[in-house]
Parts: sequence; C-alpha cells; structure tokens
Amino acid sequence: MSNLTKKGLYRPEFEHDNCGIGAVVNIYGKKSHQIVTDALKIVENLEHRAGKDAKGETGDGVGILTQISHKFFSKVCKENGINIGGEREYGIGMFFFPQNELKKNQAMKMFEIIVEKEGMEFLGWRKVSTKPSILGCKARECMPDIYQGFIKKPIEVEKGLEFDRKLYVVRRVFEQSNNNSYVPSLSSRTIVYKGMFLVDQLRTFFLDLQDEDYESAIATVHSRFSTNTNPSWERAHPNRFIVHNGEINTIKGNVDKMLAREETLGNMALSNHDMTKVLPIVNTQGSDSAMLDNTLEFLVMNGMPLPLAAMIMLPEPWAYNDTISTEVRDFYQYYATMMEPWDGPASILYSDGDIMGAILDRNGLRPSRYYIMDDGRLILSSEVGVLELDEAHVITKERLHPGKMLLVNTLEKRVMSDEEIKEYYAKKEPYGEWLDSNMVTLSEIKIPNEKIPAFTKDEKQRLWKAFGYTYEEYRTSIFAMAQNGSEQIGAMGVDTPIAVLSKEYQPLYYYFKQLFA
Amino acid sequence: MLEEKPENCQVLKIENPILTDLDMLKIKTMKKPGFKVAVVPTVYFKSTPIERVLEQLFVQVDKAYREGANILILSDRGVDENHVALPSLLAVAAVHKHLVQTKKCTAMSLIIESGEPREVHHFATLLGYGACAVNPYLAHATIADLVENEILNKDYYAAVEDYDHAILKGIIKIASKMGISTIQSYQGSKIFEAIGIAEEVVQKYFTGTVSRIGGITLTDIAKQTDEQHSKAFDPLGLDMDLSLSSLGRHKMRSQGEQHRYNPKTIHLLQQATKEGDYNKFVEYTEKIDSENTGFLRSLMDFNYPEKGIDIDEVESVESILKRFKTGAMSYGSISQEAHEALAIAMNRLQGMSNSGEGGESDERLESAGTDCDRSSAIKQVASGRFGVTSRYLVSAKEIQIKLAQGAKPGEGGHLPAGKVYPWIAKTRHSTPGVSLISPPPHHDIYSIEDLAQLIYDLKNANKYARISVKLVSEAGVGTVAAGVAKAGAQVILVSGYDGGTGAAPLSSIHNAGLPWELGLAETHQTLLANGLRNKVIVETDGKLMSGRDVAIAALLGAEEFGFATAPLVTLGCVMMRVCNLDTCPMGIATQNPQLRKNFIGKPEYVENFMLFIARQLREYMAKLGVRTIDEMVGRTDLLKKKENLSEREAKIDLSAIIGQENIYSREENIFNSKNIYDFKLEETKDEAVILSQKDMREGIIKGLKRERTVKLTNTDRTFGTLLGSQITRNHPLGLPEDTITIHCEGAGGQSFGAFIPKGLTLDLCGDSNDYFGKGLSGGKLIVKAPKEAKYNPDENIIIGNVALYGATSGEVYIAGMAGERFCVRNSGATAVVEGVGEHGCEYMTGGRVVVLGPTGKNFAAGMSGGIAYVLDENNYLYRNVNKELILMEKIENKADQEELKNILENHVKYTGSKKAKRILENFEEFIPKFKKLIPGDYKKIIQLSSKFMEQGMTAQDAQIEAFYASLGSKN
Repeated sequence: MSNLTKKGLYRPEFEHDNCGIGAVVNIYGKKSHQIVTDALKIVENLEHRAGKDAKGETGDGVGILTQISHKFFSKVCKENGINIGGEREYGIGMFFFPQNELKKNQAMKMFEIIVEKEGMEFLGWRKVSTKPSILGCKARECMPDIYQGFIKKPIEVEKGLEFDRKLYVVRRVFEQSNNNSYVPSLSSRTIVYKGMFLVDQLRTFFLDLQDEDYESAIATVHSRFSTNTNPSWERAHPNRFIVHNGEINTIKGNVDKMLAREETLGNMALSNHDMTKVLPIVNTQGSDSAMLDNTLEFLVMNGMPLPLAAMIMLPEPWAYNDTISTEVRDFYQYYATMMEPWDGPASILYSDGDIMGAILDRNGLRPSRYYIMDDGRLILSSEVGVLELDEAHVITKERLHPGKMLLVNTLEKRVMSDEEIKEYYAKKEPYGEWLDSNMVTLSEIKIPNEKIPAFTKDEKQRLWKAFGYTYEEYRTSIFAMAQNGSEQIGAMGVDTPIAVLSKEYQPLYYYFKQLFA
Repeated sequence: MLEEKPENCQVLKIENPILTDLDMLKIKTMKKPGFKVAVVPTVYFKSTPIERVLEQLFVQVDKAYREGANILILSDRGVDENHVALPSLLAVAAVHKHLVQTKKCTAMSLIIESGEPREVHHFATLLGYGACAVNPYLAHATIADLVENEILNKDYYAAVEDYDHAILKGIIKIASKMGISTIQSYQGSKIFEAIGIAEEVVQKYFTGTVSRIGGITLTDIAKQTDEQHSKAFDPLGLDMDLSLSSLGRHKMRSQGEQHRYNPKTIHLLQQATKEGDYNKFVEYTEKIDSENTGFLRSLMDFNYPEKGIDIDEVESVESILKRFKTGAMSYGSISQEAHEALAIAMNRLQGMSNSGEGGESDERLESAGTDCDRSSAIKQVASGRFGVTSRYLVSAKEIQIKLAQGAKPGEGGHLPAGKVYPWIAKTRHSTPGVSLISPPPHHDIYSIEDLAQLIYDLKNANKYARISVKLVSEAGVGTVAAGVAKAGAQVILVSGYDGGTGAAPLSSIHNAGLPWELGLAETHQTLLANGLRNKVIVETDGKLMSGRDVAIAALLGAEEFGFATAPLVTLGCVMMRVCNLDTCPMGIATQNPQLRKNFIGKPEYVENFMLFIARQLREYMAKLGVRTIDEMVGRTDLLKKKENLSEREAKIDLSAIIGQENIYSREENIFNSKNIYDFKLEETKDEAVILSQKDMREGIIKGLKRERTVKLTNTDRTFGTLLGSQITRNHPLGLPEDTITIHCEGAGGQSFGAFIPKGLTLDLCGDSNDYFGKGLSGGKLIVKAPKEAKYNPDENIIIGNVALYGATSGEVYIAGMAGERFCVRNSGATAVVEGVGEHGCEYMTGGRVVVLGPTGKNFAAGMSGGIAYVLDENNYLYRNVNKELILMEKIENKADQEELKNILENHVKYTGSKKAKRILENFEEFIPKFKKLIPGDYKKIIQLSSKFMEQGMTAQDAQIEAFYASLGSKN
C-alpha cells in the first residue's frame, strides 16, 4: 500500500471477500485423479465469481484442498530421496516461505527444530514444482517460495486425528516462533494448494495437480472475490478445514468472546502443556473466514467432532422452530449458553480428509446445489452446470437448505442427512434434562415482597436534567414509543451539526454511528 | 464447554434484553443455587478524576468476580448533589473491555441499570459494547410521569411494555442492517464507527472501533458530564430552571440546535431561485457556509494559490451542468408535479434527474427525447424493483443500483397504504390502498459477486446505459467501492448520511452512516491505491447546498454531484418534515389531489439553482487556479483546516482527509472512458449466436416468427436479456406471444431470461441457477428435465434461489422444484412450479403462483397482492405459511378453479409435466387439496372495486373509489 493510504482513511480490516465454491467427493472413498481434475474444472467455470485486479491479470485467490495422495507423494519423495513410509504414516506441511534465502533457511531450520522438540522426526523438504511465468505481475511480486515439509508419524501415535493433533501443535508453535512464513496446511490427511491466481492458473501453476498419479477421493475448491486488491497469497482459501462463501458479520464479537473464553474452555484432547502452546486460538490478523477456521480447528483438535463444531457455530434458527425435534432444540439451547452464533450469509464446506461436510447459514443466503451420480460421486457447487455431466447418470439434484447440513462420510461410504446428523448429536446427552435442572428463566424467579422506589417530581426533573433529557424526547419520542410500540418516523435528513461540533450537550451515544452491510 | 456436562448450561435466560424495574428487582433478589448477583455502582463523587473512577470500577468488578458473582449489575441509581453518573456507554464499554482482557467476560454477564438510555440508538450502543441487558429506570419513570399527567392515556404497565417492545424492535432492525439475526450475536459486536472521539479513548475502552478524525478526550467527556450535572444540581444550591429544554435535534426549534435549513435560509433560497437573483443566492450561501453549521467541511478552508486565473479560462457553466444530478426520490413519495418539474429542469440543462425507485409512467417514458422531456435520465433499481421493466431499463441513460440510502442506510422503504393512490399503484405494478414494502436487502445481492452479477444483468438489459452503484458513507465504504469498481460499475455514488429526503425512523436518520466528506475521501484514496480510480466516475451527494460545498466535494475526489433537498426547497418545500404523512402543505411530498393544487414550483426555479451553483463554483475555481473540474478532482492539497477554531473544533484531526500530497498522476486521479470495464457482451450467446444472424435481426425488427436452438452452460449468464432488450428497443410494448422462440439445452447460467419482454420465449431443457427470470417483463420461460433423466423431476431441484425476483408480467412453467425465495417481489407474472424452498412469494404484490408440491418455511411473508394456489396434499402448509397478511382458503369459486385449470393445462402443454397431467385427469379429486392464499387487504380492495364496477363505474373510477373507501374517508 502506498503512503497515501497509510496516512488516509483506509483500514485493512474493512476488507470483505466472497466467492464461488465447489466440491467433488467419491462417496465410497475411491481415489482418482478425475476427482481433482473435476474440482479444478468447477473452479475454472466459476470465473465470474472470482475477482481480478485493475489490470485483469492477477486474481484475488484460488485454491484446492485434497486428500494427501499417497500414490503421488511416494513417487515424488522417492525422487527427492525422502522415505515417507506407508499411507498416513507421515504428515505434509505446505509452506509459503519468504523469497529471501537467509530468512527462508532460518524459517526452515526453526521448523525442523520444533518438530524434533515435539518428539517427531523431520523427514525432509521438497521444493514444490511451480510455473511462476504464468502469474500476473502483482502475484509474482509477492510470490512466496513454496515448499513441502515431511514429518514421520511416531509409532505410538495413532494414524489420523491423533497424529494431526500433534501436527497442529507443531504448526501453532511454529506460527508463534516465526513471523515471515505461512503454513497453508500441515496434516497427515489433507493438503492445500492455493495462491493469488486467476481461476485457470491454479492448475497450470502447480504442476503436482496435473500429475496423473495425483489422486484424491475428496476435493474442495474456492475462488475469491475481494473488495480490495491488497496482494496476499495467504488469504486465498481453502483454510485448514473450510472453504467459505459469505461473510461473518458478527466477527468482532465472536472473536472477543473466543479470546475471553480461552481460560474457561477446558481441555479434552490437548494436554495442559499443549494448550499453552496453541493459544491464542484465533489469529486476529486473519480474515473472518480464517478466524472461523481457527476456532473450528481448535475445537476439533481439542476433541470435538467436526460436524458438531460446525453445528454449534452455525446453528439453524431453533428457538421458535417447530419443524425440528425437541431433542434438537434442547441441544441447541444447551450450546447457545456457551457459544453465540457466527452470523452472516455463509455456505461452508469442510473436510478433514475422511469426511466432507457442508453447512448453510440460517437464512439460506448463499447458493449451494449438488448432484449425486450413480457412480458414487457427489458434486456440489455454487452453481449447476459447472461440470458437463450425463443427465442419465444423475440420481438426485438437490440443494443445501437454510440452516441445514450435508455430510459425506467416505469411511462409512455414505451420505448422511441433516436430520440424521443432528438427531445423533442431540441424543448423545440428556440435554433437555440438564436444561430443566440448570437453566433459570426470568419468570421462574419469585417476586420479592419489596417495593420499587418511585421518584418524586423534583427528583425526576433533576435526573432528567442530569442525564440531558430534552423536551422532544419526553413529549415526542418516549411518548410515541410508549403509545404505539414503535419508533417515531421522520423525514428530510439531517442538517444539524455532528455531535462533536454541536454547541449543545450530546450524550456519548451520539458519537457512535451505526454501521450497516 | 468442550466437556459436555450439565453445569455448563447454568444460565439465566432473558427473553427481552430491555428489563422492567420489576425484572431488575427479581434479579437483584434472586436466590438460586449457582447464581450470584453483584451490584457495582457507576456513580462517583463529583470532581473525582475520571481515570480514577474507571480504575476504581475495575477493582470493584474484580472483587465481585473473586467473590463468585456471575451476574454483574452496573448501576447509576443514586445520582444526587455530589454523585455524578458515568456516561453509561463508557461504563459498559470499559467494563466489558476489562472483562475480555482479563478473560472473565464469558463467566460474568453484564447488566446495566441506568437512567441515561431512552432512545433506540442508546440501547443499541449499550448492547453493542457488551451489555447483556439494560434497565432504563428513568425512561420508565418518564412513562409513569406521562401517564400521571394524562399526556399518555394508557395503563402504565402496558405503556412500559410497548416502549420496551419498540426499543427491542428498533435494535433488531439495527442488527439486521448488518445481517445479524440474533440479539445474542449482536451483543458485544461493536458494529459502530466513532466520530469525534480521541483515538486513545477509543483504543482503551472501545477497542476495535474505527475512529479516524480524533476528537474529545476522556477529560472532555468528564467535563461535559459534570457541566450537565451542574445544570441539575446547582453547586451553590441555588434554585434553577428544571424544565426540559427544547433541543430541536430533528425539527427546527427557535432555541437549541443549529439547522442549516432555517426559515431565513429557506426564504432566501426560494426568493433567489424564483427571481433569478444571484446576489440573493450569494447572501443565502454566506449563511449556509458559516462554520456554525457544524459539518466537517465547516472546518475546512481553501488553500488558495497566490495567483488564481481569469474566470474566462474556467470551464463553462454548460459543461459543468452536465455533472449535476438531482437525488433519487420516487414517484409515490413525491407528487407528479414535483417529480416532473425536476425531470424537465434537468433535461433542459443536460444534467440528469433520477426516477427514484417507484417506476415511471408510460406517458413519461414516451416523452423521452421530445421537446418536453419528462423522463428521468437515471433509472433507479432498488430492492423493491417497483416498475423495473425491460422498457424502463432500455429508456435509461444511467441505471443506478441503490445499495443504501442516506436517510436510512441499510433499511428498506415503506410506502404507507394511504399514499398508494391508484396512479401510484399503476406505475409500481401494485394494488391501490395496499401498503408497499421494499425489503431491506436486494434479494439478489448478498455479496460482492452477486452485485457483479446484477451489474452484468443491467448492462445486458441496456448496453448503452452506464451502470451506477449508490453507497452510503460509512467506515469501509472505500473498500466496498473498490469491489464495486471491480464488479464493473462505471459510476459510484457515495451519499452522505445527512442527505436523503425519505421517511425513516429518527434513530436511523441521525445515527446511521457518516458525512460524505469521510466516505468520499476514503473512496477516492482506496480506489487510487488499487489502481481503480480511473475506471470509474465518483459522485457524491448529501446536503450539497452551495458552490463551496461542491468545490470541496470535487477536491475530495468527486466528479459528479447530486442535489435533493435544495431543489425541493426551490420548489416550495419549507421543511415541515411530514413527508411520511401525506399532508405536505406545499403539494410536494403528497399524492393528495387537494394538496397537490398547492404546488407552486416551476422547473425554472430548479434550473436557476443549478445555474447559480455552477456560477459560484466557477468563481471558486478561478480563485483556486483550476480550469476544469477534472483538474480539481482529488486535489486535497488545495484544502486546509481553518484557523482560529474553538478548542473542541481544533481537536478534530482532518489530516487523513485533506492537505495531503497526491503522489498519483492526474490520469490516475480521474475517470477516463478508455478504461471502462469490458463486459465482453459481444461474446455472449445472445450476440454471437443469435443476434449475429441477419435473419434473426430482421425477424425482430419486423416482428416475424423465428426459432433457434442453443446449448448452454453456467458460464452463459443472463441469457436472453440482450436479445430481449433489442426487442424492447424496436417494440416498446413487446411482440405477440412466441414470436421469437429459443430452445436451450444444458444448464442456464445465473439470471437466465432476466427482464425478457413479451414475444420472447425461452424453452430450456435442463436446469438453471439463481435469479432465474429476474424482472421478467412479459416473456415466457419454460424449464423441464431432459428426456434421458431418470430422476423424478418433481422431487428434484432444477431452479436455483431467488427466481422471478421483481417480475412484472409474463408466464413461467417449471416442471421441477425451485430453491429459496421463489417469486420474491413478483408483481404480475404467472408461474407454475412443483415445489419451492423457504420464503416463497415473499413481498409479492401481484400475479399468480401455482405450487404443485411442498413449500418451505415462511411462505408468503409480506405478501400484499396476487394469489398463490398451493397443492397441500399432507395438510402441512399451515405450518409454513406466514399468516401476518394472508388468508388461507379453499378454492371454491368457479372462476378460480377455471383459472387454475387453465394454468395447469398450459403447464402440461409446455413441459409435459407428469404431475400436472395427473392432477388434471383427476381435477375434481384434487381441487379440495389445493389452498388459495390471498392477502386480506388485497382481497378487500378487489372486492370493493368489483362492487363499484357492478354499479356501472369504469374500471379506473372504480379503483379510485375503492381506494378512498378502503381508507375510510375521502379527503
């Protein structure tokens, strides 16, 4: 950013982003290169949902999350002399390092040390094959040096989530020990390729994605449309778990509360010692999607199932909803006492490499359509028509419904409906009973035998003065609300001074102006 | 939280965050295991330094926490001679911040008991900065006083309940402006910008809030609180005047707040423009421009160069006038006389007038290009989409998308039933005497890529028009503007919060949005930094009232300028501020035929105003040494802060706005048409495959039957719209049914068939995306599954969300299901579909919708016209219908049955729907399973007018009679 804006009125936190999303999953967990190619094709056909800079040569960000392709990585690691062992016995970190050689080497060294300190073996680095020549000049200027780092799974650690939990701690420690690198993913199950691309550059930039041996049963993709062109590779999606189309409007409040909650959260899966390493949960420099992802990731790593975490952060309207069961309502009420909704238009896809889930905001403000094909593929996207498909092989054409979820479990080889997932979690504990014996409503409290003191006329008058009440407020505004149950209507705008320039007393409230979307 | 255990949900649940005094008493005295309540006073001894007061407060809060309190009540009860109350907002924000920082905020809930809050905005800030609930004891005592003095003739408890309800309703509205749907998430969300508070105060106590121009310090806050306290409790114990003073925050009062429009300035302006007297105008602007008016620009001064230039070297008045516009005011909110006067004046001057969101009558659309051109050059597209037809769009020179409106940013419009006279209803395609709601958001814009899509749609609907997007100044507007520029808009209007003529809740008029100075400067800066500034024209408006105002706007980055209140004043407006009541004495903001006779305005007055502004602007330009507006744009170095300001004014820091060196070249600072966004319309299938054929072009011009077949995918967006616009251009009223038919295969992209006119039929075999049939203007749309499909079409989604948004006429047949918000704001199209998602037929004002399957929740919410027939085989519909405005009936009437049958026969004919076939074959059996949904008011009006018609009146007269009859009186 130039000098002008630094001195001016722009603030980076004003930035918004939005996008197109898609996913291709083989429900039976059958891996193929076709899944990856199809997912890339989806994002390429969502070009109109992606943003470009003023010159039209640099994109706002495109990315893909896939399972780790053992077939591919065992081949390339062999070429690099890295012995990674069997499937899921290693974790891969994707790294955006600085181009500066010295800084890069320092960062790499730092990472290696952290891995060892966490009791694991670092296997080696692989420079990711890329084609920078295709990039727009803004993207090239701030292009990181992209590497993959391989970590061996300790024998005593179980494959999957348990190993990923250890890798999570490593990443959090690294993130707090280094400030010039970014880790798009570090996991034994998933990997993220992303950057400041135009939609078709993702495929051409990363040669890995073009390799026939690069296979996956799950792929989620994202194209970003930002209201700004502040160059950034990190801000592209996918994040570690999610791709997100939409905005979290309550982000400031959510993040404040997450910060405040850190001490009272308790820990399930992470040890006390590990907890101190991963805090703070939320990186407040990130975008709203990244902060949502931070929180989701933390909850999962600390023992909460991924679909459950998504459910409590983005609840459907439950309070007055008579189309859901009492158990589900009680479940939501129970969690509402601890977590406020992350609210705003949102369609979110998440995956840990075994499941792929999708959830839509309570008002259904983002499009998410999906097809299920007779060969076991599920194709989800912001739009239909993104892939050419044979209509004769389509079994179902559906959409995500407002506040509802969809879950593909490739281990169980099936699709779970919203009702099934929610009933499952809602019946795990006797939430209704707990609420009944713990939650108190105002009407349950006994009215004491006491009198509320009334003010004398003189007291009232003095208080009115002290608090700066005006005649209009007394006679018009409070009167109107007490009379009609609604606020007074006016017209013809404002032609009076702003609070700070007014010669009259202005309560502090008037120094604050409401924002709107 | 991670561990699932019963104690986690040990909370006190409150239904309404506004607590009555009794609620408060209950909480204070509650004795329930697991709960501990602590009351911490926020009153302090007079003259204690405020920092110490706050520190003391934190100590007490910490103590309460240590003692196990989980409900914390901050209370300012006990204000007296030596006890001053902390401003409640400061107390709440500071304590909340403290709790967040010390990680206690989820363990303790904050309740504020205060005498200070009384208006909606007060409560919104308290909740927004961390309070869970508020007890406004003095506001409640005020209600008791109103009741005692018999000003309010109502039971005290009922009045308090209504007051609390009004407050809550207001807060929900404020939250929904940010897209927040629960109070729980609004609480602590800090969705405000501070203006006029010193940075350090904001950082310390209102952390995370944007504050960009500095302002008063903590000491100033303490001082003003103390001064106010002394007005209630005289330090010398003297008797004092305790009567409430009139401040005139909204309506002008003789004492109290300064108003820029006051009887003196209004009179001068009217005289000047009526008599064409420039000297009087100068006299008026001297008053307007005085720094007492308390605008941000009042603190600015021109930084004149040593030598100006000769005024003859400055760009001519005529050329400047092309950059002037009048503000968007709908026909409906203002009278035909006033609306046309503005259009005529601006057309004569070659400036532009704005239609507003109420559509435009055919007669006026026809007058375009004639000697007496009454058609508005700018056609607005707002969330209500009233009267937005293909013809309306084709007639525009500029199409403006209203994302927000200065008077009520973030809110929709509302035209009360009494103003919906028959002639208004006609241009809006609605029913007379039935109130009209513009939904707050555009249902096709929830994010930036959606806006890009709407811009693309409108460009297709009229490729010659420039597309403009109207934003309201707020923190971050520049970033939004950058997104808008990237989305292809050619004009970006940044409106000030203070502008606007529309009716809105007072809290919204005064407390939402920012002055344009800030928004405009931010927009210019952000666009420049992103290399986007020269791709767009930046326009501003908001109480632009003098040549000086316009000159400052140009220097801050504006190239075009809008005026609304001032032209209305020249036409006679005396700022009665009763626009919402239909009682405007000057015949401006009223439809009442009697009052409209009082209209004394003439287009010439508006012309004089514009000429004077331009003339005055040129004088400034000469002194500033600039020849053209283009040379001025963004030259903030030509502005400086005034000297000799008061202490308070001096604290305002304008350095982020003015006086900066502009490091960008002139070319980067101003719009250049060679940088216009390329929509690549020539690559669309409409152009490349259909209109490129001579045979087709000829068919359109001569109205001959033509057919084509094309293959589509999702990247073929807005298919059919360009073709449709070509038909409208040649035949403003459309062509006979099915003149041009396009058979499509595959997936229709977004906005398939948007705005297509009568005579065009799109027959799609496959499925389609969001915004299908947007603004349908008479065309026909058919969608069916391909023959080879094995799935059951009536159980599968083949159409996306928000189909037929703002459709005004036409026919639609869908053999399959559609997503959310089907037929939202439909005002005349007939549509058949075999199942819909949530919010179906929302805000509908006309037309027929037949649903042959399930509906989602909230069906027919806000629906005020038209009829929906729904097949309700499982009697499930009653749960999903929003019953606020709707009557649910059986279809007993023969005419209705006939109508339904006809529609279904067409459905079978066009789509081959198996479901519809089955229904028709067993029609008698199925009829009882259908429900007819009709809005109550709408039904009443229809019945009234048919009654009058039976008495022998013409349809038009019957409508007028029915309108008056429904209002219960004839004025």
